[in-house]
Amino acid sequence: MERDAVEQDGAPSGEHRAAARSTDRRTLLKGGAALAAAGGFSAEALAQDDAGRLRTDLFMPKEHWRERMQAPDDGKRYGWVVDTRRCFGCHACEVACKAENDVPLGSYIRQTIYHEAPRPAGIAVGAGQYARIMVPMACQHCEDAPCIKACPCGALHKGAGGTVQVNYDKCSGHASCKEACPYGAIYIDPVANQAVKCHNCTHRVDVGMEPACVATCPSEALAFGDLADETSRVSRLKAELEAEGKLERLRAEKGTEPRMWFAVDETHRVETWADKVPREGESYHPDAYSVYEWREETPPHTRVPHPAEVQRAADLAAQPTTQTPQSGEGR
Amino acid sequence: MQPRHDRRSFLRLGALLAAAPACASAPRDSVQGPLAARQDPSIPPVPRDRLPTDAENRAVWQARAGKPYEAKAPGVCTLPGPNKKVRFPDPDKYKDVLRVHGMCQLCSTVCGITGLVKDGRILKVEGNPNDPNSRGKLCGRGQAALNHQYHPERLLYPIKRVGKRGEGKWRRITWDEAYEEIAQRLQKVQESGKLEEFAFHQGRNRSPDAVNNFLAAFGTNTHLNHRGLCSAARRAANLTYLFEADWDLGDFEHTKYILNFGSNMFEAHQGHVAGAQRIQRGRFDNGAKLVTFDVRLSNTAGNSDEFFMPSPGTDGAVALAMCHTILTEDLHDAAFLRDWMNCTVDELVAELAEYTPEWAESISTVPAADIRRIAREFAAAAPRATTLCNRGSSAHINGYYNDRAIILLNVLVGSVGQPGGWCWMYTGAQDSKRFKVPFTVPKPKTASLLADPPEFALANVWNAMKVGEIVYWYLKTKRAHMQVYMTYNLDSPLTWPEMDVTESVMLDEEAIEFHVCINPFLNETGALADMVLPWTTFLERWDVDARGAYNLKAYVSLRKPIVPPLGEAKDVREIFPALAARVGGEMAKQYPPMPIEDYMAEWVKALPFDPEQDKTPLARLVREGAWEDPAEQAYYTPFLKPLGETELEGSVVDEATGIITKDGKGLGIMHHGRAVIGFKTPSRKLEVRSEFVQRTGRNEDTSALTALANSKAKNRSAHHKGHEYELSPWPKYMPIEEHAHLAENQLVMTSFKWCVHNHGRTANLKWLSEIVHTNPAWIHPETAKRFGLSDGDFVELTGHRSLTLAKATPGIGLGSGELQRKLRLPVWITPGVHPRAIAISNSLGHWEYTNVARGVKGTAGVGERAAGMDMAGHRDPDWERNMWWEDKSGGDPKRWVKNRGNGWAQNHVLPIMADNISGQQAFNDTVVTVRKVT
Repeated sequence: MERDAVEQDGAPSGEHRAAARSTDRRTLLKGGAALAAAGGFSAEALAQDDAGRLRTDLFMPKEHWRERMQAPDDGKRYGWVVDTRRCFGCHACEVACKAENDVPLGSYIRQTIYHEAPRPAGIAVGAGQYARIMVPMACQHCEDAPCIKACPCGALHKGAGGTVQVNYDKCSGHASCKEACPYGAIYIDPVANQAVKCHNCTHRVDVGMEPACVATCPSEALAFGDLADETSRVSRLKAELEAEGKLERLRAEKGTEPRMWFAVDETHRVETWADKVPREGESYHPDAYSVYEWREETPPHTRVPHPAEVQRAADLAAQPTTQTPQSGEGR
Repeated sequence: MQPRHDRRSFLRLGALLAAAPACASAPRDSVQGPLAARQDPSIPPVPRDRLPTDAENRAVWQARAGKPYEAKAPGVCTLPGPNKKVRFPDPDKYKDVLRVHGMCQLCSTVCGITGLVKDGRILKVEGNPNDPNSRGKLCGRGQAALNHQYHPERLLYPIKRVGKRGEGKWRRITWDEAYEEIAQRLQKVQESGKLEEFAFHQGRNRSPDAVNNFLAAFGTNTHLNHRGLCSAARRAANLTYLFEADWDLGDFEHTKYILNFGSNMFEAHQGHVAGAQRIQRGRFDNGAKLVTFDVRLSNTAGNSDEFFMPSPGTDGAVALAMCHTILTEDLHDAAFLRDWMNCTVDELVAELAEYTPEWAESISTVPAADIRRIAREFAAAAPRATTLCNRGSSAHINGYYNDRAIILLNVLVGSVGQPGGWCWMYTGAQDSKRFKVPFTVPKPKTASLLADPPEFALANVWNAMKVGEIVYWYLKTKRAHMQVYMTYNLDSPLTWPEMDVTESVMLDEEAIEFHVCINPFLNETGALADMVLPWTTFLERWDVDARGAYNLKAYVSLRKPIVPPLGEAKDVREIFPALAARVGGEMAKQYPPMPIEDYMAEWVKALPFDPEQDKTPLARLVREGAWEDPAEQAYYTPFLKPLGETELEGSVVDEATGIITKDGKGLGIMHHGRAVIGFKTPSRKLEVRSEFVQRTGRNEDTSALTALANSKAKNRSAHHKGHEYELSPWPKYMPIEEHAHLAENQLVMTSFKWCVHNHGRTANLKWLSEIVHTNPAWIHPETAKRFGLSDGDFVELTGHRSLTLAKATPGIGLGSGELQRKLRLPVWITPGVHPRAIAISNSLGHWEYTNVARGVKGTAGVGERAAGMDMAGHRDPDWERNMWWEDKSGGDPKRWVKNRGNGWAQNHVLPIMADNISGQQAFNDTVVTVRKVT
């Protein structure tokens, strides 16, 4: 039996989150209580989703996905270096991605995460002790991609350079990939009803362009390219930053071998902002941009269902009754 | 298959729609998809031993099929029916695509862009790598250009009002009808003999050649703008020191230290993309440090290496205390000051004696120890050290003095004009001497009170900045009158202070007899007009344009139609000659029609080109989009440029000052035995002490001074007599009186801009409004405690006029009372705002300007506004279906959901506060009384 959704939120280490919560959230939830109820989860699920654990319960047998996990033999290894010190939250990458891919409102292939945190000790105290960390986020293009393993219909696979991508002739919208993704990088398109995620703009890269986000970034915080090529910008950056000990990955303990590395410094360490990045079963949520979500103690927004889901529920309600579940059924 | 517990069950319909916070009773089912599909026995479960067949996949998929989309265009969400995505991403998308360069105009930075066009449709807008300023980068605003171009509510046909002004009823008219009526009215103005009563008012104008010629051909000087609301104080401060330039361009890419007072360069600032990328290069490639002082944690402050929060309006105090430290600890560049400061160090030390760091701490709340430390760091990094400032320091009653203090820091450490230091350019756009406008109609002599109000000392003496924010007040108090008001890319009812005044005046047909608005959308200004003309977007028209060059080399860029205009949209380059022809007589003669491409070709004919590659100079600029002269040297230390023999022929040197003049006009100055240009000021040095400003304040003649500067600066007009002020010739700290007497329930209201919005014209772009659409008031936790506020609680604000300005300019008649209108809005509690301040963005709260800006889903309520639109032809199903931030509270604070709605219009409670020194509107000083309402 699930607990009242009002009491829960989506973060795995729920206890300290619950303590940090203020009454305003409850007020918010009351207003959308019915909607919020769906955002809750059970204690058993909490235990299963501890940091470090993957949704192995969703994985298909290896024969399903062994071939799809194999990148084509093009000699390329696409990867990313994201410089969290440089990003200043202009959202150009995000809007460029929206424009490039006609991403529907309410959904995001790419989102810039905001997190305000005190600056580390020793750096100017007094009134200015907060820093605003802004991190451009998208699919991590894992080498050992749990989304590929979880996909029941064989749509998720690897393309050029190891890009994790979706075959839209097969994708049936099971959403297992979204449930399995430790980074919240997949959304289900509200009309196509298919999984959508970053595809490394291979349609641009193949004709000599950069991914839309990389090309536009005014702070030059995004680097993408072939890690198998030592002379590429991304390889050089990765090597330099590694040598300086300034490179970290997100949720590396999950073992998915993400091909995205973050350039960090004392203020921008991944552990400082990691909790703001959505997790298994979540997608980038538009309310993440509410100023109320920026503060350190506010976890990623999970208390109100994703608007696309609200729309889907409304659509389903309008459909013939055979497909409409009754309240409380389906145990 | 065991049903699994899962964190989410996003289709638990019963749970979703139940009113009570029900327990979702069933386990979630993720492996096999949402429960709804599982309920249908006709859908087989997903096999585990093999991949499902296509039929099985389709069955699952169709069980949850949504409604198909219809539109097929980029920028509009296209998910071709019946439902599934096809060719996503499309490998052929950019095959055979046409690349056409142009320039953005969604903010004032005007970055070069490239439109990727196929079949007559813009698929994507990106940065043009050939633009030497923006270097191919484009911010979020520019990336939303498709929303602007293909907006369902774009104005495509001329419209005329039906019924009363502001009633919201419109009918479509032809261009012929429009031209006819406007021409007749202009003729009436001519007949009345009061040419100044044809007033033109621009928001953002990147076609000054066309506008200037049109107004000059008519004979009016009532050419109004928004500069007073933007940067008057800032520019006046730069001009005081330099005379040559009103905009500084820190050499961020090569610097080691950036001391930022109140600029939010990472989110806004003229030159945003160009400057911001160079700051990050300077920091991460060159080890520069960025220190920011801001009353609020902007993205710039949040990303800076150090951040301090001074009390509102006290940046000048902090800067002066830093100057004090630099002087008393002997950290200044004595040689530079000896050569280039127009006073002695001793004189300056005496002037700054009281501005100790302890004094600054008591005023600003910034710790004295930090003030000293930062000053020392800045001096140590010099000459590769520069300040950066903007509205945070200058949009204040004391803004002019704040910026005077800040600039002084660069003077003291000798980083003026140095690589990595505080620099400027001889032009703020393209080099107009090299690229001459094809024809320039001589400016008329018609006086215009609206363009030159007498109460403002420095507003029009160097160049015509004017005092935009005083226009509607002048009309309201009958100091002026408009027979014809032509507005152009302006959204004054939203963006001007004191909305009540703006609205009431614009509705008053006696104050403004006829109002024609030129804009691509029906915004708040258009809604109060009599006629609205559909203006082309920046993707559909021509300009020769450029901005302050951060490479410190002049460049030229071209705004060119990337696609033909939609509907019947026209640019002013077509409208103006057509109107001039209709008005006839002298006007038609002065502004003859000229094919636009011929005009552009003539304008850029000085551009070098290779005939093997391009037929004409224009062809080259079309092909590349922008050009920077490879032979041009960066504008470092221009004051050290030696004067040549021919220049010096017939010149005389003043033995006492070393100033070189020829025919009574300043030429240069002797510098260690050599004749150099020096600074183009009266002293031929940096005017730390400005006799020019002092005399101008007193309405005294400055012609002897401007002769030495060889500058076009002039005296205040004759009608300024009676408005004399004692302006300090020195940088000084000017306290804001009303801030010293805040009551317990009062705060200082400041305003700001967002990363994805400009002041008044981006809220109608859905991808941007999705990110930022609401503007709760930022307050400090201490403030929240005092008022008993929690996050999301509503407060009511009452705005108070400025006591200081009421005393400085009593004749304006604004007084010092309260504004009648109140503002109710929610608060956000954050340590990222000064405890004495309440910070509200000024860019939101639209009530017109398309459903996107109004935060209304779909096409509801557009009503008769649609007369000038083609909504059926430009449908956006994504907007109709997926818009998610509508506010359903009906204005009830208890029902407001965070992050919903389209914000609140700050200018309800922000008074007209026009500083008498430069005419700057103080957007960051309003004393507000705060009352909790929920």
